[in-house]
Amino acid sequence: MASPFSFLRAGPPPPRVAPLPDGVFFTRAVPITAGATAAEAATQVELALEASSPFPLAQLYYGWFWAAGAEHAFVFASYRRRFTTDQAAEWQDAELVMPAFATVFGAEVSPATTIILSSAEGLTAVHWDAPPVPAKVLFQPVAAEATDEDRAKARDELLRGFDGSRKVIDVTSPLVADAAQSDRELVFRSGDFVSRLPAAVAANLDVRDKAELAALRAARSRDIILWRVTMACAATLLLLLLGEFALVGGKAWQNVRLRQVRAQKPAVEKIMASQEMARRIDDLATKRLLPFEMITQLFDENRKPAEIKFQTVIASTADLHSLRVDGLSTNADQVNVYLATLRAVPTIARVENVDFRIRGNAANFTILVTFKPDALKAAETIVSQ
Amino acid sequence: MIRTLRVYFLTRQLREKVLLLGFILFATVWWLWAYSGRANRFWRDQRSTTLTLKEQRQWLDNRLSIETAAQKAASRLDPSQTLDRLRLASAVTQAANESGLRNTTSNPLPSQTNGQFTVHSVDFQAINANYEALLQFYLKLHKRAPYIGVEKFQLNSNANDESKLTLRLVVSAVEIPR
Repeated sequence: MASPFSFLRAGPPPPRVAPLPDGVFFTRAVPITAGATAAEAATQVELALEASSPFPLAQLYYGWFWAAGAEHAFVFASYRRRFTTDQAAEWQDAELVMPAFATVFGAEVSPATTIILSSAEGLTAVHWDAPPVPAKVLFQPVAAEATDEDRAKARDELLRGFDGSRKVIDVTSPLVADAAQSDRELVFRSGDFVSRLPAAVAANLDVRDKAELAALRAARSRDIILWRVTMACAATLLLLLLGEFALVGGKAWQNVRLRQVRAQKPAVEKIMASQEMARRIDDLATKRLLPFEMITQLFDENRKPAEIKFQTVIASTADLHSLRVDGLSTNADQVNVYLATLRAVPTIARVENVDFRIRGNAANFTILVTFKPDALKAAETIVSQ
Repeated sequence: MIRTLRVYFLTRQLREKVLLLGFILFATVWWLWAYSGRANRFWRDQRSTTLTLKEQRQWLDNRLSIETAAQKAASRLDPSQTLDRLRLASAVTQAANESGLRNTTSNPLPSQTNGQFTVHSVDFQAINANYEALLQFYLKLHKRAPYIGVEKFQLNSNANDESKLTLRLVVSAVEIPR
C-alpha cells in the first residue's frame, strides 16, 4: 500500500535540457581498463581525448557515456568556437547540455541495434555492438527540402556505416525530457520509446566546462537539500494538523470520561466511607489500645531506675503495639542500663532509641518501645507503682 | 502539485529559498513545541482519569463485599449497647467522675457515618490528676469495651509536680441503630 505521504516524495519535474546539434560533435569509443572506477574512467577518457583531439581540452565542449563495468566509454567533443557566445549564454538555465543523440543512450537495446534519429539538420544513427555503451554514432546531413526518397537513401547510407544491424529503430521525433520517479534518474521519451539515464551517468554527458558543472551540481545538491528539509517541515506540519484533530477528539473523549468520574464519585465515596467504617468498627471491636498495660511493663519489677522520669507517653491505634516515651534522666548512664533492661523483658519485641541528648550529667531521651503482638492482655486491675 | 511547487522552490533565488525554509522551519518548531506541551498535558490528564476510573471501578466492584464486611463488623456488637454522641460523652464524664477526676474537659469530635452506622468520638482531657485516678478512669472505660474504645492516648507529667499528670484521650464509640 502506498504511503499517504508519497505525494510529498513526488519525483522531480522534467529537467531543462539544451540539446545541441549532432553534426558539430566528433565521436569516438575509448577503451576503459577492466574494473575501473568512475573517476578512473573519467581520467582515461580525458587522456584519450587529449591524445586524439587537435585542440586542448580547455578549448573543447566534451562529454562521455560510460556505465560501470563497460569495456569502453563513448566520447563526444566539439570545438568551443563552433558555438557562439549567445548560444552558450542560453545554456545558463539548462540542467543538462548535450548533443541530441545522447538522449537515447539510456534506451534498453539488444546487441547490434541501431537507432535512427531524425532532426531538421539530418539523420543520426546510434549503434550498439553490445549494450549498454554505444559503439558508434554517425550523422548524415539532410536538407530541409529533401524528399522522402533522399531521406531513405541517407538512412541506408548510415546503416552501411556499421558492421551489421540486427535491429533498427526509427525515432521520428526528437526525445524530450520527461518527469522521472526520483532525482536518481533522467527520463527521455518520444512516443513509446523511452530512454532512462542514471543521474550520475547523465552528469558526464554534459559538455560544459567541468569546473562550472561541479559548481552547478553543488548548488543543485544544496537546493535539493533545502527542498527536502522544506518538505520534511511540510510533512511535520501536516502531521501536527492531524495531531490537533486527534487532540480535539481526545479531549471530547476525555470530557465524557470526566463526566463518568463525577457521576460515580458520590457512590464511590459512600463505599469508601463504608470501608473506613468497617475498619473502625473492626478496630474498636477487636483491636484495643492498651496504653496503661504497656506503661506498667516499663515500670514493673522495679525495671525503671529512680533517676529516670517519664515526661510524655504517647500511643495510638495507628501503631497498636508501640509506645513512645519522652523522658529525662539525672544520670545519663542509667538510660542505656534501662534500655538493656527493657530489651530483656519477654513481652517487648523492640526498643529503639529515637533521640538522646546529654546536658551535663543529665540526658533527655525519646524511646519507641514495640511490644509483641498478643503479649499484653487487657487488665481488669492494674497495680500502680 | 508537488512538482509545480518543487519547480517554484528550486527556481527561486537562494535568499528566497532560505527565507521560505526559515519561515516554514520556524512555524514547524513553534507548532511542535506548543503541540508537545498540550499533548503532554492531555496524556497526563487522560492517564490520571484512566487510573481514577480504574480505582472507582474497583471500589464499585467491591461494594458488596465492603458493605458485607461493615455489616459483619457491626454484627459483633449488640445494637442496644452502642452509644450515640450524647451517651458517649455522658459515659466518659461519668467514668471520670467516678474515678475522682475533677479537672476535666470533654469535646465531641465530628462523627463519621456511612448512613447505616456512625462512629462518634470525644476528645477528653484530665489535667493535674494523679496516676491512680487516671488508671481507675482507664479501667472503667475498658469495662465498656468494645462499645467504647481508646484511639489516641497521651500522658504528660507536670514539670513542677511529677505526681500530677495530664491525660489526653480520643475515645470513640459506634452507634448502630436498633
